[in-house]
Amino acid sequence: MSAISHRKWKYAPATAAVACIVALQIALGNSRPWPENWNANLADPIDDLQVWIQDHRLTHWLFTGLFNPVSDFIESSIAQVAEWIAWLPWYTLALLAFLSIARTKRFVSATVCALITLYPAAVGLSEATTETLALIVVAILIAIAIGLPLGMLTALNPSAERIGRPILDAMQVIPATVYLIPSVIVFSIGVTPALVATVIYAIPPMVRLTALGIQSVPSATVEAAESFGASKQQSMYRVRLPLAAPSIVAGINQTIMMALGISVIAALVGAGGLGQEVQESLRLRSPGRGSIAGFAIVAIALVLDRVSKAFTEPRRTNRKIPIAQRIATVAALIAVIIIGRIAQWIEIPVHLNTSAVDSIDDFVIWIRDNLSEPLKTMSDFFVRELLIRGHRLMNETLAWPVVIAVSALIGWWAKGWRTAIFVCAGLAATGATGLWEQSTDTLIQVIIASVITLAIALPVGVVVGRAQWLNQALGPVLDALQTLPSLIYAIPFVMILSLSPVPGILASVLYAIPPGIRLTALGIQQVPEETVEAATTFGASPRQVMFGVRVPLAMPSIILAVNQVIMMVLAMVIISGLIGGGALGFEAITALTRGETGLGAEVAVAIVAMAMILDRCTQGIAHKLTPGNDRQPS
Amino acid sequence: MESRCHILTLAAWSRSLYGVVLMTHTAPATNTATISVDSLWKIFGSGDLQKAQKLSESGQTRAEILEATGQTVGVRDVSFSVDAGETFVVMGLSGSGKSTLIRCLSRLVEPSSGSVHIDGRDLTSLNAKDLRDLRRTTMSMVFQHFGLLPHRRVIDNVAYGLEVQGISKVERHARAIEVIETVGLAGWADHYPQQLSGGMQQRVGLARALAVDPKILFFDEPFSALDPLIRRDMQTELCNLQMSAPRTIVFITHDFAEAIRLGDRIAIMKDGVFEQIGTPEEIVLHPATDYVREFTNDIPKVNVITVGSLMRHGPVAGAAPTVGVADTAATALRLLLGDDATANVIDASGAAVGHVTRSDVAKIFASDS
Repeated sequence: MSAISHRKWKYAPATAAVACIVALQIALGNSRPWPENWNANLADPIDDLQVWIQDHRLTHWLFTGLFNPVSDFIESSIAQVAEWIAWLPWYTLALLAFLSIARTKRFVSATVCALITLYPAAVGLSEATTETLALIVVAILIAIAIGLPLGMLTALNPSAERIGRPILDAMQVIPATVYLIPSVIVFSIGVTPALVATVIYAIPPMVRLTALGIQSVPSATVEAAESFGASKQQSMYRVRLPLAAPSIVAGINQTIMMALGISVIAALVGAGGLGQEVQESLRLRSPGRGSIAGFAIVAIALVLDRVSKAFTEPRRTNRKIPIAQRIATVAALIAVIIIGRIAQWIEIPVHLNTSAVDSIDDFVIWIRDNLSEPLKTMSDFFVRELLIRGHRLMNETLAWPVVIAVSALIGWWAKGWRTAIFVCAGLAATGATGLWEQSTDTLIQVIIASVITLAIALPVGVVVGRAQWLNQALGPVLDALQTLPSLIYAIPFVMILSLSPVPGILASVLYAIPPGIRLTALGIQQVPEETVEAATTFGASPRQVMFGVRVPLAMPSIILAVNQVIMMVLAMVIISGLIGGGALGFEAITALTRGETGLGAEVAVAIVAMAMILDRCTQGIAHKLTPGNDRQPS
Repeated sequence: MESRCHILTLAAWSRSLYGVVLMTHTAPATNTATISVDSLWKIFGSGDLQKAQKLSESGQTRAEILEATGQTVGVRDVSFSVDAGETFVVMGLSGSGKSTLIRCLSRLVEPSSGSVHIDGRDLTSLNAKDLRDLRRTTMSMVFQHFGLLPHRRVIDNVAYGLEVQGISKVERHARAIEVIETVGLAGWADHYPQQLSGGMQQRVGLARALAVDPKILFFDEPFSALDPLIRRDMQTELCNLQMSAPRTIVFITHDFAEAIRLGDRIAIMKDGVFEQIGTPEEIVLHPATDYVREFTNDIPKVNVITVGSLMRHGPVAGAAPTVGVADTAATALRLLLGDDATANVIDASGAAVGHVTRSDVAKIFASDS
């Protein structure tokens, strides 16, 4: 009896809260959007700052002495790197890729990667590729130079970790677009803000994985080193760092991927390169041309990934490459480069015929011309039934305090009253930017796209998690889908459906499906075999094993998949402002391309608030559903 | 088939001091073999498994077969039977194939060839549904790392087997509470497994297995992950359970002492093959191979050799203390530490059949040290 009454009591606060919210809604009535005069006018001081910057860019010491030289230095070093790359004979990078992978005796992989390295130049994108490559190389070097020591610091210094962790958490959930805004304020349009944004965006995984690698070195190993009298320095550089190398390389790897990901958006502020090419194809409505550039980005990602992994993979043989052979290889490489220079073999002699991609364009045009009716109907349904209704619900039916109260209740349920307060503060900040309506629209788009994504990704992930061969077969496809610049997904939808939020939503779905599948499959795979066997010996049917054991045990991982999907969808929905997505994305793009810095700052606040609220709530729920957490005996 | 528990000898001795003749438990004698395994093979790998079996039959070693075919021989031509109420222990080191073998007995691992009969029913020919039904009603298993469901409370873990059978919540919870008390976890029903210590978690595993009241219990190294004192407790617990309600048990271990303590019969397994099957006494007294002898060296023989094998013919007259025919030499020695130099030996029915002397028993003790 006591257990039952206890359980009833458990729901009492929630019931009371819901009752209060309903009462609030009835009391306030309809048609209450966020009051217009409750605006912090954040834009004004920022705009003033921008004016001040424009006036003083050539005179004030902060610019003449700091920002301008930094900007010049970055720009010239990127130009320099680009020049070097362009100076090399066409086959040099392919050779380098081949040699670094061939170290591990994986000759097939080395050859394939070398051929892939030639792809961008062979389709006539060598100039754009060189620009992107130069930007990425410099960005990665800076990110490593900052991230590695920070990672070492956070790994061994608890107070540094306490301060650093929430900052890193926040940095990772914020869509990349947000970083471009302040960079543009300080450095104005050009390569520099792109690089700064890329570096900021790419640092968190570097710091995180370095720290993780160092912390996961077994303490017994470090103790052993110290028992032989190793100093702190020695145990760091001789023991911890070498053992953490795989994790650090994984960090570099992620840094590369994030840098490539942002390179497309960076073209918005004048970074050029392959991103420019993708944006151009979007303007021309040519998915074929977009895919050529997109695959060039995938090619770079793939080769850099393989090469970086080759440096930590255990070699297949124990035999070390003799010094003489190494020197001979390097000498031969230099000789080949010099010969190439003298012979003027700069341009690649091979040219792939790219007319095949025209058929992609033709195919999309055919769909547009023949299937436009049903597709338009579907699109209209989306807009009319979901987006507009959602907009009305959030801005006309529900009063704004009710929206905040409901959100706070969700936050409280997910993680407790601190999160509830955080949610309230975040929403209040959003209101104060004057972007309440746009934020609600973005939220509705995020919810719709996430629901569609999860409806596809979760079942597929469960199936993939059970079928090893399917997992292996899908791996490369998912890799490619994840690296392909997200905007490319949007092009065919824009062509078929014309400008509206729908193409953005559909592109977000495609973009977010791979990690959704990945994490779900991973969770299903990680269920301990013994637990499954235990259920089986009791005669559980395959269905009972799946839904009674595997899925519940995979729940934390599945919720993380939900978290990841929501975050990726949010980032993509913002970018889809470029293709008629409206809402916050439209404001962000306007701010970036027109230099409306004040607006940009307001958009940034709204996006950051939304990202952090969504992240905290989903993380909280994941924690709640992890077995053994937050579950005291009743 | 008689069932012995050497761990109880101390208790047996103290009780017989007060003139209570305590015989080790005798299970209901049904002669039907509950489990019967005939030339069982398990070969891991893909492609033609017959080839590896042929190579193995022609005398090639596991390593040679792996080299030639890429396949691993897990269990190689094993045959044995387990009687009703018997505790059959399979002892082997890691990689010997013992865990594979026990999984073949419930078809968690599909045997490559050979047959497994349970109560005369051929397990290997059952379809998925019949197999599930058999698992639900006849057998359950206790795992090395417990295999508990971390998202369910102790009570729901224990009731899991009943839940799978479709028994109502009220009924299965009532039964679960009963079993939880039997294994000494009263009051912990509403906790989650992670909130319990290792020993307690394995008690949950045991309770879960007992809740369905199975005829057969499979134990896959259940006590290996526990520390020595807890392990001993759990062994005692298992012995007590066998005394009160005997079941057919197949018990896997890598600990020879545990095998001796628990097993009615023991099989020593190496490289997928049974090196020897026998009672603890047979194995300790007559190890079949050098490999088996290695294990027996460290075992005190007083704890294994039974009074029956030391007994001289005919009881002696007078008020001599009595000792059971199945009791160990150690039990007899404790009886004879006092004034008495001779004890009469009685069989299962209580009839005096012979006697043992202090010096006979002391010789065994001396040979150990």
